Amino acid sequence: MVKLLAWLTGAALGDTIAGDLEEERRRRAVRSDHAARLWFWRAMLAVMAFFALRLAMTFASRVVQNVFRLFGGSPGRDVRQTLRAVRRTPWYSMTVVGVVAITMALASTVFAVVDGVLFKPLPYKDADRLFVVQPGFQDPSVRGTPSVSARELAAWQAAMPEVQFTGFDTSASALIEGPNEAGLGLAMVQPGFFEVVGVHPFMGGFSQTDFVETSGPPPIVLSIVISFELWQRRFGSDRSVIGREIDADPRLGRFRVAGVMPAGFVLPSRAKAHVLVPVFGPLNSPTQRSLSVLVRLPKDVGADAFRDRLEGLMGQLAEGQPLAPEGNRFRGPFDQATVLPLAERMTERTAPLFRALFAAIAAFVLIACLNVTGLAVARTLDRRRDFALRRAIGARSIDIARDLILEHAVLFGAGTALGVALAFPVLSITLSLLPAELHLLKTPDVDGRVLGFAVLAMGTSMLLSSLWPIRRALDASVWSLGLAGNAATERKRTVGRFAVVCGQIAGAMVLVVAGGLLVGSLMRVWSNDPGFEIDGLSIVELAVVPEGRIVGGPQRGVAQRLNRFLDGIREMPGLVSAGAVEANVLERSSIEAIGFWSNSPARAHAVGVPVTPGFFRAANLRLLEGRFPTDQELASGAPVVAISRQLAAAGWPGTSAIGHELVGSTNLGKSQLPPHVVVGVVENVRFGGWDLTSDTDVFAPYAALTFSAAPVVFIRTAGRPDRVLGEVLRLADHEGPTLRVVRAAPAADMLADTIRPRRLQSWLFGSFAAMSLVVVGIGLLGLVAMTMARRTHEVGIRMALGATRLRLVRQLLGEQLLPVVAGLAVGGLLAAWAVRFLGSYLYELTVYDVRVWTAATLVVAAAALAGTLLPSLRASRVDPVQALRVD
Amino acid sequence: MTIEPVALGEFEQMVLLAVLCVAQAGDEPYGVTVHTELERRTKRRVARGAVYMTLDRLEKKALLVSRLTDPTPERGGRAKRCYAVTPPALAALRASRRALMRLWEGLERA
Repeated sequence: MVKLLAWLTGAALGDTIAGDLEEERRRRAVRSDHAARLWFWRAMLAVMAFFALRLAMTFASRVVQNVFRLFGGSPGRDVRQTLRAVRRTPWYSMTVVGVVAITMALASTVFAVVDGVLFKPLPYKDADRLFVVQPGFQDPSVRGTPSVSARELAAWQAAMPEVQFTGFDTSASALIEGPNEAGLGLAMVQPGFFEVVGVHPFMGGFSQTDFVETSGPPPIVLSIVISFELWQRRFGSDRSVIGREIDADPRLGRFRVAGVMPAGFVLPSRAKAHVLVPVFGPLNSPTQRSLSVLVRLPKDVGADAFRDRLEGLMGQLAEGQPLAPEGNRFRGPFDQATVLPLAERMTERTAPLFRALFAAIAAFVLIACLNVTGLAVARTLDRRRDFALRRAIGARSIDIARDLILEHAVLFGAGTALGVALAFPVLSITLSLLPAELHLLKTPDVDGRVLGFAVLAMGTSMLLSSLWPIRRALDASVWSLGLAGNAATERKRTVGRFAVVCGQIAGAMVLVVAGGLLVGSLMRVWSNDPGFEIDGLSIVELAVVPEGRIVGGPQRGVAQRLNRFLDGIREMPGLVSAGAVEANVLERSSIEAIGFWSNSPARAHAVGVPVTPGFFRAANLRLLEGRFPTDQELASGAPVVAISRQLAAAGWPGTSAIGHELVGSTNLGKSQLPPHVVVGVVENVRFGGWDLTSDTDVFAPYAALTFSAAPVVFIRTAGRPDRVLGEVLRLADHEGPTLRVVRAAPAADMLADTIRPRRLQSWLFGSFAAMSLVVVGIGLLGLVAMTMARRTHEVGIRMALGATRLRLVRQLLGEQLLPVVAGLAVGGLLAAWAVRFLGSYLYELTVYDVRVWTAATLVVAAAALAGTLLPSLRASRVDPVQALRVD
Repeated sequence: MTIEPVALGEFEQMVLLAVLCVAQAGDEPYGVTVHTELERRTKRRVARGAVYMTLDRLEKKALLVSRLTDPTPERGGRAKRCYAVTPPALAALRASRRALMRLWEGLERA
C-alpha cells in the first residue's frame, strides 16, 4: 500500500504522508484501536484516490496534447476549421448526421433490449457454477421433462454433500395485486434456496419455522419474500413492511411479508416470480414430483463428472423399485440426467431471436457505414482541388487525414448524440410491445452500457467510413488534376464505388426480406377470425373460492357464487348479454378436464367447454348449422351441446352432425357423462390465442360439467367495453374475499396481447427494414447527386451534341443498374441463408415465400431507383450553355 | 528593482495561512496539523490529498521550506516533514490581502 502511495505521489511525499497517517493512527488508537485502524485506511484510500485522479487527468491531458502534436495540429484551430467545412456543405452534413442518427437510434434501442438477454451476466454469485438438472429416461417412448420429488432431491443431496442442491416450483400463481397483474408469479422454494443461488433477501428472510409449518396442508398465513420491484410498487419502499400481513389470494389464505429480495434479482428459471414462498401443501409431499432442480457445483467438479455421478446414483436408487409404478413409466425411477449451465437454460428460448436481432443491428450499421463512405468519397472528389493545392504547398498526408477524421468525428458525434436522444422514445414504444413472459436480466434502459455501445459503434463506423475517403483524398495532386482536366474520368466505375452501392443494396435486401417475412406473418395472424365477435366484448377472469377453501378438493359453492355475480352484471345499464365459460381464454394454453368423443366410427376427440346461460349471445359465436343450446337447457344442465366445425368434420365427415351424440368423461376419465346430443355447429374458436390453432370444442351446459374455480365471464355491451369494466370490478369488490377478479380487459386488448412476441419481432425487424430502405434511398440519392454535380460539364457536352433528356436519364440510370442488380443478387443469397434462422417465428409462411421475396426485391429496387432517378432527372434539366461554362 | 509578489490561488492562501496559524500556536506545522487547522478554521471538509499536494507545490514555488525531523517509532520509522513560511510567501499573502481589501470596499458601498 505504501509502495503504491509512493508511486502515485513520488517517493519523498509518499513517505511523509505514510508517516503522518501512521502517527495519527497511533494517537487515535489510545481511545479505540479499531476506530483508529478504520480511520487510517479511510484516510489512506482517500489520499490515494486523490492522487490517482490527478495522475489520470494529467495523463489524459498529455495524451490529447501529444496526439494533436503528433498530427501537427492544434485542437482549437482544427475544430474551428472542421466546423467551417461542415457549414459549407449543409446537405451533405445533414444527410450524414441523419443517417448516423437513424442508425444509432435503432442500434441503441435494440442493444438496450438485447443486453438484458445476451450480454448481462446472471445476477448470482459465481453464476458459472450454477447448473440446472433435468432428470429423464433412456426409454425414448417416454416424452416430456419430469420434475423431481423432495425425497429424490434429499437422496441426491445426502449422497453428494459437496454439491449444493435446491428445488423450487413455479407451477402456482398468486394474486396479491389488482386485476391484470399477469407478471406476478409465485415460486415455492425449498430451504437452502438462497444459499445455492448466492443471493439473500436484503431485508428479512425465511426462518426455519416457515418451512416446518408448511409440511402439511397450506397454513392460513403464508410467509413470503417479495421482489424489490413489488416492494417499491405495492408498498412504496416501506421498510416496516416486514411482518405485515396482507390480503392475498383467497385460494391460498393470507400472506405475511417475511423479506424483500435485492434489486435486480430474478428467479433462476424461465418463469418470473415476484413472490417467493416456502414449498407448501400437497406440493410439499415427499413423493410429489413438482420441483425444478438447481445445483451449485464445487470449483473442482465439472458438469460432465457430476452428471455421471448423478446417473450412477439414479441407478443405485432405482434398484428394488418397480420400473413403472401404476403402469406409468413417466412416474418411474429416473435413469439419465441432463446438466445444463443456468445461463444457457434461462436464455435458450429467447437467445436465437435476440442473436438474429443483434446480427440485424450489425447489418444495419454496415449499411450506414457503406452509405456514409459513398457520400464521403463523393465529397472528397469534390474537394480534390483543395487537397491537391494543400499538398502542393506542403501539407503532409497526416494533416489531410487528420482533417477528414475530425470532420467525420464531428458529424458522427452529432449523429450519435441525436440518435441516442431518439432512442428514448423508440425504446418506450419497444417496451410497450415487450411480452410479459420475456425474461430479461435487467430493465431495458438507455444506461451506461447502452451509451458505451453507442460510442463504440460510432467510433468503429467512423473509422471504417473514413478509410476510403482518406485514400482518395491522398491520391489528389496538382499533376493528377492537370491530366484529368475535368470530370470526364468520373464515368470510370471504380471497384470501391461498385462495392459501396452493391453492399448497401445487399444489406437492405437481407433486412427487408427478414422484416417482410415477420410483418407478413403478423398480417396473416391479424387476418385470422378468432371465432367470437371482438367488438363490444369484455372478458373478465375470476377466481372463486370454493366453500371450505381446500386446494384440490371439491369445488362446492362455486356455481352459486358465479351465478349471483352474473346476475349482478346483467342488471348493469347498456349490457347486451353476459355469460361464463370454463376455459383458459386467451392465455396461450388450454385445459382439458372434460373429454368428449363422437359416438361415430371416427371416435373424434374434443375438449369439453362448460358454458352458462348468456354465453352464446355474449360471445356471439358464428352459428353454421342447427341452433345454440337455449338458456333454459344450459341452466338445467340438459345434455345438449354445440360443437365446433372442426369436430363436426372430423366426427361425422360428409354428413351433418346435428342429432348425433357425444360420449364424455370428467376428471381424466374418472367419471362418465351421459350422452350429449349435438344441436348446433359453430365456427372454430381460437380460445388459446390469435395465432394458435383452435381446439375441437364442445360447448356444453356449465350446470352439468363445472369442475374448477376459475370461470371466465364474457360481457357484451352496447357501448364502449371499458365503461362496464369499472362497474364489474366494483361488483367483485362487493362480493368480498370469496370472489376475486384476476384479469379484466376489452377482448380486443386481450386478443392483441396473445401475439405480443410477434408484434415485437415485427416492430423491430420491420423498423430495420423500413429504415434500411430510407438509408439506402438517401445514400444513393446523395451519391448520385454529387457524382452528377461533378459531371455537369460532360452532361452539357452531350446535350449540346443532341442527346435528348430521356436518353440522358436512361444512360445515367443504366450506369447504376449493374451495382444495384449485383446487390440484389448478393443480398438475395445472403438472405436465403439468414432467414433459415427465422423459420420458427413465422406463421403460415415459409422462409422462401414467393410473394414476400418478390415484394422485397421490388421495394429495394424501387428505393434504389428513387435514389438514382431524382438526381438524374435534375442533371438532365441542365442548360448546356451554362453547363459548358462549369469548370 | 522590486520583485512582483507571486499570485496565489485561494487554496494556496488558505494552506499558507494555516501553516502560519499552526506555527504561531506553538505546534509543528506538518500535513496532519495543517489539515486539522484548515478544517477547524474553515468549518468545512478538506481533502487530505489536496493539502499534501498544495504543500508540495508551495515548496517547489519556494513559498514554503521544509525540514525533516528524526525518524521515530511512532511514525513507523519515518521522518516528519515540517514546513515554514518563507518571506516571499508573506509578501504574496500581504499583496493578496491588499487586493482583496480593495475589492471588498465595493461590498461596503453596495
